[in-house]
Amino acid sequence: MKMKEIPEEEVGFQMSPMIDIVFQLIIFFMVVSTFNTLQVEEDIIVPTAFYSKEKETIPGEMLINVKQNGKFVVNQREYDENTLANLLFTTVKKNPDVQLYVTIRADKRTPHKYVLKAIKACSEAGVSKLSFMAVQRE
Amino acid sequence: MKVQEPEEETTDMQMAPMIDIVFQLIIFFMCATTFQKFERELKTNIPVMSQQVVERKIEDVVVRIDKEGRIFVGNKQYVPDKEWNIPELIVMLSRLKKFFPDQSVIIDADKEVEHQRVVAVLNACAAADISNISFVE
Repeated sequence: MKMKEIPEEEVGFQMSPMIDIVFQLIIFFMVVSTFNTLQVEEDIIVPTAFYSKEKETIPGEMLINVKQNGKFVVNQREYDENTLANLLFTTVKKNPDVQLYVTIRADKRTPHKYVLKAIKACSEAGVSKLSFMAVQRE
Repeated sequence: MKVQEPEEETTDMQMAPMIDIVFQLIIFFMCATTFQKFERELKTNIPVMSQQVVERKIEDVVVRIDKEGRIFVGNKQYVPDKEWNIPELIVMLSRLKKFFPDQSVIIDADKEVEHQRVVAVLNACAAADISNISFVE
Protein backbone atom coordinates (compact mmCIF):
# COMPACT_ATOMS: atom_id res chain seq x y z
CA MET A 1 0.00 0.00 0.00
CA LYS A 2 2.77 2.42 0.87
CA MET A 3 4.52 1.88 -2.46
CA LYS A 4 1.44 2.86 -4.42
CA GLU A 5 0.88 6.13 -2.54
CA ILE A 6 4.02 7.81 -3.84
CA PRO A 7 3.27 7.69 -7.59
CA GLU A 8 -0.23 9.00 -6.88
CA GLU A 9 1.19 12.20 -5.36
CA GLU A 10 3.58 12.85 -8.26
CA VAL A 11 0.76 13.17 -10.76
CA GLY A 12 -0.47 16.43 -9.24
CA PHE A 13 0.87 19.36 -11.28
CA GLN A 14 2.34 22.15 -9.12
CA MET A 15 1.69 25.60 -10.51
CA SER A 16 3.26 27.84 -7.87
CA PRO A 17 6.97 27.11 -8.52
CA MET A 18 6.38 27.64 -12.21
CA ILE A 19 4.71 31.00 -11.57
CA ASP A 20 7.63 31.94 -9.30
CA ILE A 21 10.13 31.21 -12.04
CA VAL A 22 8.06 33.05 -14.66
CA PHE A 23 7.94 36.16 -12.45
CA GLN A 24 11.69 35.94 -11.92
CA LEU A 25 12.23 35.82 -15.67
CA ILE A 26 9.85 38.74 -16.29
CA ILE A 27 11.68 40.91 -13.74
CA PHE A 28 15.07 39.84 -15.09
CA PHE A 29 14.21 40.77 -18.67
CA MET A 30 12.59 44.04 -17.62
CA VAL A 31 15.81 45.05 -15.88
CA VAL A 32 18.02 43.91 -18.76
CA SER A 33 15.95 45.73 -21.37
CA THR A 34 16.07 49.02 -19.46
CA PHE A 35 19.84 48.72 -19.38
CA ASN A 36 19.82 48.10 -23.11
CA THR A 37 17.73 51.15 -23.96
CA LEU A 38 19.96 53.35 -21.81
CA GLN A 39 23.01 52.18 -23.78
CA VAL A 40 25.24 53.14 -20.91
CA GLU A 41 28.91 52.36 -20.64
CA GLU A 42 29.83 51.01 -17.25
CA ASP A 43 33.25 52.56 -16.66
CA ILE A 44 32.15 56.19 -16.91
CA ILE A 45 31.83 58.27 -13.76
CA VAL A 46 29.24 60.94 -14.45
CA PRO A 47 29.95 64.50 -13.20
CA THR A 48 28.03 66.13 -10.37
CA ALA A 49 25.45 68.83 -10.97
CA PHE A 50 22.97 69.67 -8.25
CA TYR A 51 20.44 71.39 -10.51
CA SER A 52 20.20 68.58 -13.04
CA LYS A 53 16.65 67.56 -13.91
CA GLU A 54 15.05 64.16 -13.88
CA LYS A 55 15.87 62.36 -17.11
CA GLU A 56 13.04 62.22 -19.63
CA THR A 57 13.17 59.23 -21.91
CA ILE A 58 12.49 60.32 -25.46
CA PRO A 59 12.03 57.56 -28.02
CA GLY A 60 14.78 57.52 -30.60
CA GLU A 61 17.18 59.65 -28.64
CA MET A 62 20.88 58.94 -29.02
CA LEU A 63 23.21 58.53 -26.11
CA ILE A 64 26.86 59.30 -26.76
CA ASN A 65 29.25 58.00 -24.13
CA VAL A 66 32.53 59.90 -24.06
CA LYS A 67 35.29 57.98 -22.32
CA GLN A 68 38.21 59.49 -20.53
CA ASN A 69 40.57 58.53 -23.36
CA GLY A 70 38.42 60.29 -25.95
CA LYS A 71 36.67 57.22 -27.40
CA PHE A 72 32.98 57.64 -28.23
CA VAL A 73 30.62 54.75 -27.56
CA VAL A 74 27.13 54.67 -29.06
CA ASN A 75 25.01 51.53 -28.69
CA GLN A 76 27.99 49.54 -27.40
CA ARG A 77 29.96 50.32 -30.55
CA GLU A 78 33.10 52.44 -30.54
CA TYR A 79 33.41 55.47 -32.79
CA ASP A 80 36.09 58.03 -33.42
CA GLU A 81 35.63 61.66 -34.35
CA ASN A 82 34.87 61.07 -38.05
CA THR A 83 32.71 57.99 -37.76
CA LEU A 84 30.65 59.67 -35.04
CA ALA A 85 30.02 62.65 -37.31
CA ASN A 86 29.01 60.21 -40.06
CA LEU A 87 26.67 58.36 -37.74
CA LEU A 88 24.95 61.58 -36.70
CA PHE A 89 24.63 62.71 -40.30
CA THR A 90 23.05 59.46 -41.48
CA THR A 91 20.72 59.32 -38.49
CA VAL A 92 19.49 62.84 -39.14
CA LYS A 93 19.16 62.20 -42.87
CA LYS A 94 17.12 59.03 -42.30
CA ASN A 95 14.37 60.90 -40.42
CA PRO A 96 14.59 64.52 -41.53
CA ASP A 97 11.23 65.49 -39.98
CA VAL A 98 12.04 64.12 -36.55
CA GLN A 99 14.04 66.28 -34.18
CA LEU A 100 16.92 64.16 -32.92
CA TYR A 101 17.73 64.41 -29.25
CA VAL A 102 21.28 63.67 -28.23
CA THR A 103 22.51 63.05 -24.71
CA ILE A 104 26.20 63.29 -23.95
CA ARG A 105 27.36 61.08 -21.12
CA ALA A 106 30.97 62.01 -20.52
CA ASP A 107 33.28 60.97 -17.74
CA LYS A 108 33.94 63.81 -15.31
CA ARG A 109 37.69 63.64 -15.94
CA THR A 110 37.39 63.74 -19.74
CA PRO A 111 39.38 66.63 -21.23
CA HIS A 112 37.04 69.23 -22.69
CA LYS A 113 38.45 68.85 -26.21
CA TYR A 114 36.89 65.37 -26.60
CA VAL A 115 33.47 66.53 -25.40
CA LEU A 116 33.78 69.49 -27.72
CA LYS A 117 34.30 67.13 -30.68
CA ALA A 118 31.00 65.41 -29.88
CA ILE A 119 29.24 68.78 -29.49
CA LYS A 120 30.72 69.98 -32.78
CA ALA A 121 29.59 66.81 -34.55
CA CYS A 122 26.03 67.36 -33.24
CA SER A 123 26.08 70.99 -34.27
CA GLU A 124 27.24 70.15 -37.78
CA ALA A 125 24.59 67.46 -38.14
CA GLY A 126 21.92 69.99 -37.18
CA VAL A 127 21.13 68.60 -33.75
CA SER A 128 20.35 71.45 -31.39
CA LYS A 129 18.72 69.57 -28.54
CA LEU A 130 21.62 68.43 -26.47
CA SER A 131 21.71 67.35 -22.87
CA PHE A 132 24.47 66.33 -20.54
CA MET A 133 24.25 63.48 -18.06
CA ALA A 134 25.00 64.23 -14.44
CA VAL A 135 24.30 62.99 -10.95
CA GLN A 136 22.80 65.22 -8.31
CA ARG A 137 25.17 64.18 -5.55
CA GLU A 138 28.36 62.20 -5.54
CA MET B 1 -10.36 10.86 11.03
CA LYS B 2 -10.79 12.52 7.66
CA VAL B 3 -12.06 15.75 9.16
CA GLN B 4 -9.02 16.19 11.37
CA GLU B 5 -6.43 15.72 8.62
CA PRO B 6 -6.71 19.14 6.84
CA GLU B 7 -6.43 20.94 10.16
CA GLU B 8 -3.12 19.24 10.80
CA GLU B 9 -1.70 20.40 7.45
CA THR B 10 -2.48 24.07 7.94
CA THR B 11 -0.70 24.26 11.27
CA ASP B 12 2.85 23.73 10.00
CA MET B 13 4.42 26.88 8.58
CA GLN B 14 5.71 26.81 5.00
CA MET B 15 9.04 28.58 4.70
CA ALA B 16 9.83 28.10 1.02
CA PRO B 17 7.27 30.52 -0.54
CA MET B 18 8.12 33.16 2.04
CA ILE B 19 11.80 32.93 1.20
CA ASP B 20 10.90 33.18 -2.50
CA ILE B 21 8.97 36.38 -1.91
CA VAL B 22 11.71 37.85 0.28
CA PHE B 23 14.32 37.21 -2.43
CA GLN B 24 12.03 38.76 -5.02
CA LEU B 25 11.72 41.88 -2.89
CA ILE B 26 15.47 42.06 -2.28
CA ILE B 27 16.20 41.84 -6.01
CA PHE B 28 13.52 44.40 -6.84
CA PHE B 29 14.77 46.99 -4.36
CA MET B 30 18.40 46.42 -5.33
CA CYS B 31 17.53 47.23 -8.93
CA ALA B 32 15.32 50.16 -8.00
CA THR B 33 18.01 51.82 -5.90
CA THR B 34 20.73 51.49 -8.53
CA PHE B 35 18.49 53.27 -11.03
CA GLN B 36 17.83 56.12 -8.67
CA LYS B 37 21.51 56.87 -8.27
CA PHE B 38 22.23 58.33 -11.71
CA GLU B 39 20.30 59.25 -14.85
CA ARG B 40 19.68 62.95 -14.47
CA GLU B 41 20.30 65.50 -17.16
CA LEU B 42 21.18 69.10 -17.97
CA LYS B 43 19.28 70.26 -21.04
CA THR B 44 20.78 72.72 -23.49
CA ASN B 45 20.04 74.22 -26.87
CA ILE B 46 23.14 74.62 -28.97
CA PRO B 47 23.36 76.64 -32.18
CA VAL B 48 23.53 74.50 -35.33
CA MET B 49 26.07 75.06 -38.07
CA SER B 50 23.48 75.16 -40.86
CA GLN B 51 22.45 78.58 -39.64
CA GLN B 52 25.95 79.65 -40.70
CA VAL B 53 26.06 83.06 -39.09
CA VAL B 54 25.78 82.87 -35.35
CA GLU B 55 24.77 86.26 -34.14
CA ARG B 56 26.67 87.50 -31.17
CA LYS B 57 24.85 89.88 -28.95
CA ILE B 58 26.40 92.29 -26.51
CA GLU B 59 24.49 90.86 -23.60
CA ASP B 60 25.83 87.33 -24.18
CA VAL B 61 27.79 86.14 -21.20
CA VAL B 62 31.15 84.58 -21.93
CA VAL B 63 32.24 82.14 -19.24
CA ARG B 64 35.94 81.38 -19.56
CA ILE B 65 37.62 78.37 -17.99
CA ASP B 66 41.40 78.55 -18.13
CA LYS B 67 44.00 75.77 -18.15
CA GLU B 68 44.07 75.56 -14.35
CA GLY B 69 40.29 75.15 -14.30
CA ARG B 70 39.52 78.59 -12.89
CA ILE B 71 36.16 79.98 -13.94
CA PHE B 72 35.98 83.61 -15.05
CA VAL B 73 33.29 85.96 -16.30
CA GLY B 74 35.08 89.09 -17.44
CA ASN B 75 37.72 89.64 -14.78
CA LYS B 76 35.78 88.17 -11.87
CA GLN B 77 36.71 84.69 -10.75
CA TYR B 78 33.97 82.33 -9.56
CA VAL B 79 34.95 79.50 -7.24
CA PRO B 80 32.83 76.36 -7.12
CA ASP B 81 32.19 74.76 -3.74
CA LYS B 82 32.67 71.11 -2.82
CA GLU B 83 29.49 69.99 -4.56
CA TRP B 84 30.38 71.94 -7.71
CA ASN B 85 27.80 74.63 -7.11
CA ILE B 86 28.73 78.21 -7.97
CA PRO B 87 26.23 80.30 -5.96
CA GLU B 88 27.57 83.69 -7.11
CA LEU B 89 27.38 82.71 -10.77
CA ILE B 90 23.84 81.42 -10.28
CA VAL B 91 22.79 84.74 -8.73
CA MET B 92 24.41 86.69 -11.54
CA LEU B 93 22.87 84.57 -14.30
CA SER B 94 19.42 84.58 -12.67
CA ARG B 95 19.47 88.36 -12.57
CA LEU B 96 20.38 88.51 -16.26
CA LYS B 97 17.69 85.99 -17.13
CA LYS B 98 15.10 88.27 -15.54
CA PHE B 99 16.03 91.13 -17.88
CA PHE B 100 16.72 89.07 -21.00
CA PRO B 101 14.41 86.04 -21.19
CA ASP B 102 16.41 84.50 -24.03
CA GLN B 103 19.78 85.13 -22.48
CA SER B 104 22.50 82.90 -23.84
CA VAL B 105 25.81 81.83 -22.36
CA ILE B 106 29.00 81.16 -24.25
CA ILE B 107 31.38 78.68 -22.69
CA ASP B 108 35.01 79.15 -23.65
CA ALA B 109 36.90 76.36 -21.94
CA ASP B 110 40.50 75.36 -22.38
CA LYS B 111 40.83 72.07 -24.24
CA GLU B 112 42.43 70.25 -21.33
CA VAL B 113 39.86 71.29 -18.72
CA GLU B 114 38.11 68.33 -17.14
CA HIS B 115 34.46 67.86 -18.05
CA GLN B 116 33.29 68.30 -14.46
CA ARG B 117 34.14 72.01 -14.52
CA VAL B 118 32.19 72.57 -17.72
CA VAL B 119 29.25 70.75 -16.15
CA ALA B 120 29.56 73.02 -13.09
CA VAL B 121 28.97 76.01 -15.38
CA LEU B 122 26.10 74.20 -17.14
CA ASN B 123 24.71 73.46 -13.69
CA ALA B 124 24.69 77.17 -12.87
CA CYS B 125 22.96 77.85 -16.21
CA ALA B 126 20.35 75.19 -15.41
CA ALA B 127 19.79 76.75 -12.00
CA ALA B 128 19.21 80.12 -13.67
CA ASP B 129 16.91 78.42 -16.23
CA ILE B 130 19.16 79.36 -19.16
CA SER B 131 19.27 76.72 -21.88
CA ASN B 132 20.85 78.60 -24.78
CA ILE B 133 24.47 77.57 -24.57
CA SER B 134 27.22 77.82 -27.13
CA PHE B 135 30.68 76.40 -26.96
CA VAL B 136 33.81 78.04 -28.32
CA GLU B 137 36.52 75.96 -29.87
